[in-house]
Amino acid sequence: MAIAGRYLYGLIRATEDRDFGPVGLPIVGAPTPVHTIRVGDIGAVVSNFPTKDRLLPLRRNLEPHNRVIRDIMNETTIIPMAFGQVARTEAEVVKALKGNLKTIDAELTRLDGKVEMTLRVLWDVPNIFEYLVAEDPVLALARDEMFGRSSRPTQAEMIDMGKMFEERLAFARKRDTRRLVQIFKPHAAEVKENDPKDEKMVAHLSFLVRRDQMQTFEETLFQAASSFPDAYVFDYNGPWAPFSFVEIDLRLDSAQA
Amino acid sequence: MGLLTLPFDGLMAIFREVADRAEAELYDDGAVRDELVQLYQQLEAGSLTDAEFDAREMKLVERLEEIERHNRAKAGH
Repeated sequence: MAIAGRYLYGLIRATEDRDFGPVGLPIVGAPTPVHTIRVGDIGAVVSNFPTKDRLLPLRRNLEPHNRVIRDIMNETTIIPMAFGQVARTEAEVVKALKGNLKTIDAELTRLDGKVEMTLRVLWDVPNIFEYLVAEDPVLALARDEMFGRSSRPTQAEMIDMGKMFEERLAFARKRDTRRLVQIFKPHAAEVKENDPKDEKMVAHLSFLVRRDQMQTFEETLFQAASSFPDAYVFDYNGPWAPFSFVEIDLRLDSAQA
Repeated sequence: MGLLTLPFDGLMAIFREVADRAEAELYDDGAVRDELVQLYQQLEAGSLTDAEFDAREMKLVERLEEIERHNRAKAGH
């Protein structure tokens, strides 16, 4: 039986149909051919995928998704799609392309020749509370007053202390993030601030970097790392397709939803 | 000075790539994410076979779905 669903990897410029070989998401363990669905000179990079199958973020699915995008990115500019976009039919893809040709074209121009780098800055300390206390005499005083006497702190005091700690944490993050953005702004086309997901995370930034600026970007990274205190760890990754900077939403009525 | 870590190679690179951009969508739960990182590291170090990895990964992802369902229900969606 023919498979109607189409798994979407990304959007490229293509003046003719393209065939990227059997590198797509597997169906019953077998990799599927990746090809384009074209409207004008815009091509959606797809492979067939049954819409009734559960699509889970497993390595066997994530790996081909990423590899396809990575391989194409080395050859041409691609608007990478987030994992998990499945159209019910080819016609649905064509409709999505037709309705967005201008936006897609503009986005391809905007992302042309650029890659994404990400930077996580972390406090590499055993206890973030103790670290902030050591850095902040006011916080230290409040802590000492609370725990330094014979009676146990009340719940209200504990809550106040917690609030104070949260404020200091937010302040430190904001201060350091601003400093990082200032440092990297001249070397990146765009900068995106992501919310730190971890208590010990200072900042989580994504950068859209022109390929021909990669060297200065990395030099800046080294300089920035050495200008921060010992407790800060700089964890950077990339270059990747500019996933964080994709603004277009094709609004496929995902068959998975 | 701050320490600069080098980008990952191999399998971990794939995982980091996915985790980096889709953290919020795919692996919102920190504990599950940490366990997945460990799984990838074990696979890369050769202390897990592909089949063992797949089985344990599936369990984690199912747990993740469970957490999401729970969160959605809690949020009243």
